[in-house]
This record gives sequence, structure tokens and C-alpha cells, in this order.
Amino acid sequence: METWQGKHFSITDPEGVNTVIYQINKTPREYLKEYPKYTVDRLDYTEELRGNMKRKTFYVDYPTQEDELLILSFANERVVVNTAVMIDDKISISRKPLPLKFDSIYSEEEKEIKDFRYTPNLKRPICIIDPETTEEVKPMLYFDEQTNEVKGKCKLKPYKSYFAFEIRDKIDN
Amino acid sequence: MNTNLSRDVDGRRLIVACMSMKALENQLNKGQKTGDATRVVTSGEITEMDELTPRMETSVGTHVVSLEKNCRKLPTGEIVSAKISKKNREMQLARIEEQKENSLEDNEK
Repeated sequence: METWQGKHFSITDPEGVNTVIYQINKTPREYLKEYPKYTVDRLDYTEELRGNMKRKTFYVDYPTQEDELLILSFANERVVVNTAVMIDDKISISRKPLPLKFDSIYSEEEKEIKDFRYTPNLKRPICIIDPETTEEVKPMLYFDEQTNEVKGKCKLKPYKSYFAFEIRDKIDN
Repeated sequence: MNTNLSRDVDGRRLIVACMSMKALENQLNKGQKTGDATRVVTSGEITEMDELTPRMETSVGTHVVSLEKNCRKLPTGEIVSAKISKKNREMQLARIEEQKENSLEDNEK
């Protein structure tokens, strides 16, 4: 039976904040034909209430010697983006978190969901997140016979902002 | 995707390109047909909000991951089901191997 050691760590969200964490994976050389250079895995977590705050434990099931983490903390109309590195039994967190504000996330009225169509670059995946639910908006890929291209379709609500990110090399910038 | 990058976040070796996607409107732009790609613009406004940053505990614990049983065994003895895949395990091992090679190369330099 194959078993190995995973790692886990905990955070405490302030009231009204919902944090999600991604492990950033560099694709090994032999898989580069099938996968983009970087992929992200959203970490599973369990949570417990501590007063008004939520303590969450995140699980890294495929740790390596050194793992980069992307930390997204969503709150009302805002997201704070931060990064961390996990080496051995320690996490080092960046001291320069980036706060972003959305124009408008919440809408009182029910709106028709709108398809957002695009030509995806499978070597540069972009992750789109609904800031209200913190769920990922997964694109549906389909083959467009008219243009002979693989295209993507996301369902986005109109009059509502979304958060998106992609991972790049510093040297490729 | 037709987006403007709004802000880049420096990781240790990587850049996280972040986009705050402005709300789409139910109106077509001039010359745009239904189903055409929609341009998404970014707001990219920044704001101070230290109070919204989660408190992170810097210590890391370990648990046991089982491929066949699709679960994690926590230090408390609790067993939690998880989606564990063989492909991800293979890639994890390949990544570890590559990191070892890279650190050897770095040491030789």
C-alpha cells in the first residue's frame, strides 16, 4: 500500500474574511508536453469556529522540498493576495500582501448569467474566482467547427466583478 | 482571454499576475456579435486593509496520505477522505527529483 507524508498548517480568518490557498506546482520536465509550466492546486481544508473567527487547517497532500503557496483572502468587495514558501516544517510568509478592491461585487437584483467566450491558451491557464463564494469559475472547453479552434466558455454574472490570476516566471516577465 | 493585467505580486521566484475583472454588462460593443469574445477590463484599484489579513501559524504538521484508501490520517488518528491521484503522486515524485538535481547543480556552482 502506497503512503507518504503530507503536510498541514493552520490560519485564522478575521470575521468576514474567507481565505483560500493554492499550492503552485512547477511541472517536471518530462510532463511539459502535456501540462503548462505552472499549475495550481487548491488546498483542501477543515475549519473550526473560534468565537467570531474561523481557524482553518489546510492540507498539502503532495509536498516537495520547497513549495510556494498563494494565499487569497476574500472580504466584502476586496481581496488580499499574498504568497508564502513552505520548507521542511516552517512557512515563511511574504510581508508585502497586495490588497485589491473590486468595483462592485454584490448586486441586489437577479441577473441573467452571461457566457464569456474566449480562445484559451492551454499553456497559460488563468484561474477565475467568484469573490462572493470563493468558488472557481471553471471554463468549459469545446471545439468550434467554424474556426477549427478549441474555445473556452465561462458563465459569468453580469454587473459583477471577478478575481483572476495566473502564474508566470519572473524571468519571462 | 482578453484581459489587462492589473497588478503583479512577487513570489519568491514567481510572479502572480492578478486581475480584478470589471463587471460585464449586458450590452454588445460596437461591431460585436453575440458569442464574440468579450473584452474584460480590470479595475486594479488598491486599498489599505491590514485588518483583513489572516493570522498564519508558521509551524507545519504532518499527516499520512494513502493512495489506495484515498484518505489522510491525521496525527489525532482521525481519517479524512481525500481525492488522492496516482498521476499527482507521480508528478510530486518527479518534482522532488528535479528539485534535488537543481540544488546539486546550485551547490556545484
